[in-house]
Amino acid sequence: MNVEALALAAGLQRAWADHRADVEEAAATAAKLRTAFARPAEPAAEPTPPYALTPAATEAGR
Amino acid sequence: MTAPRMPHEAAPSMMSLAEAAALIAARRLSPVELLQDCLARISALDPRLNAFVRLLDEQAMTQARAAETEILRGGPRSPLHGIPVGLKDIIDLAGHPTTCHSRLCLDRVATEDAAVVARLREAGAVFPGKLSTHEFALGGPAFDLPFPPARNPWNPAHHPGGSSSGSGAAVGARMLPAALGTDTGGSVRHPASHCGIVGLKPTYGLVSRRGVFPLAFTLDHVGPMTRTVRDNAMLLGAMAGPDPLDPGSAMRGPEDYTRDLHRGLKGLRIGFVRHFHERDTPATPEMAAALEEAAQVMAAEGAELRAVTLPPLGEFAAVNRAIMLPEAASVHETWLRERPGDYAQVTRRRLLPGMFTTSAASSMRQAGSMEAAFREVDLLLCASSMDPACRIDDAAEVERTYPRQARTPFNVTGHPAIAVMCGLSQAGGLPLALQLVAPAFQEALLYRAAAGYERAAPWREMAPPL
Repeated sequence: MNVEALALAAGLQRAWADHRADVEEAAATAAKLRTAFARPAEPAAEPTPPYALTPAATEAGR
Repeated sequence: MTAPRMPHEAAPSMMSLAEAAALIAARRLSPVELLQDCLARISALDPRLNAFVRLLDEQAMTQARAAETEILRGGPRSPLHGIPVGLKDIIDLAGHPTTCHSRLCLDRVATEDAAVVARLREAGAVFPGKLSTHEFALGGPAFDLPFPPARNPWNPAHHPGGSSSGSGAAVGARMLPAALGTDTGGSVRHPASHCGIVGLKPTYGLVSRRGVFPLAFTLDHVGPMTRTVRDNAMLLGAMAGPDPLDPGSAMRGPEDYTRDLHRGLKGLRIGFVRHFHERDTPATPEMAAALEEAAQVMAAEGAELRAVTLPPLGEFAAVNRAIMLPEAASVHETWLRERPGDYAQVTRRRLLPGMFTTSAASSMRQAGSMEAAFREVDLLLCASSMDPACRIDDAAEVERTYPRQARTPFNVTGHPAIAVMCGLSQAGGLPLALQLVAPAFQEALLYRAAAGYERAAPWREMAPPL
């Protein structure tokens, strides 16, 4: 991974110059995140806002 | 006011919101007297606790005097009339800076109240000051910012939790009866857990975020922080409501969230999510023991406890980060490019990954797994933090313990979740806490169960040794 190229493409010239370790750590964190969870097979099953899925949201108090 | 208080009654600053409101309504306590006592306690304690970024004593006194006059003439407008409520300093209060605890916003003066502040003002609340936060509600306790970090009232050498750190410290230390916090990954419930108070993240969209500096719009919530469950329900009742100018508003009216507080735990089915703290992110032994003991108390009060399995905690946390980081970066993009050195290092390190991440927020919320659980049980019980508060000057320990929590799942799914004290650590005498979680918009049910536990357990009466 060419972190410098990614940083410059993201407009982080100043951060790359002054806080290089922070930028390198950030790029590594972002890379790990891409594989950190399984994406659902059916995106429509996970709506936004989440309460759109909620039958209980329309119920009266229990 | 007219009738004197009885000698056995506590100093006003030591009263709960409900107790103070009842005395104010009975004209046995003046809002001026209440504020004066709170200000005296702030003056005595805040130099050690740093809960306040900006004290607004004169303005608050004017508000308290006006409340006193109005109440004497015609009674209180609401239970909040004359009650001091602190505001986390990412929430706009007209005419005052909203600094976000950052040098990037020192001169950012709000021209109007945040929607939630406007509601509280209408209810008659008094605003004595703006409270410390982690920078932009994200970083962590930092010593390279214009204001010092808030400290834990149970032991000022320790972290109070965050990001609503000043709100937790001010309410925990009895400087204020109530405060507002915000919660994007647990930031109301974390300081509530570490400061031994009650903190609620309401259902997504129930409380307007207009006029609150955003962290991640699809995860942000404003929540009440108080000493008791009843106080929390009263404050939420004044905060909740529709806002057509907040695109995330659920457009639901407020309810009387105190209506079921007396009903207790009997008959409720509570799903205990043990794998969060036993397998996914193992809690300290005493935290695990405190949760088991709380579950036994709930069972003894008539609740039916069942085991519930949800997706692993790490998966929720990853989804939370995958949504939050790019949304936060979109807010901070210009500053990250032009003024990266003006952030605290811890904030910069937490914001920068968002510049390398793209959002896919709408397709991975895992709300379905939670809804499946709620078909079997009424509520969920789980850990909040896996550790008691660590020392605030131990940066490595802050970094290690910060993600060891079970709060972010409910920012991801939007369900209401409340943190309530459930013990004290033996080594440090620091609060331990549990979480209860309810289906969307079932805050009254959540408060019912939390109040039932609070009555049955001894923790509500405990206060920091200040």
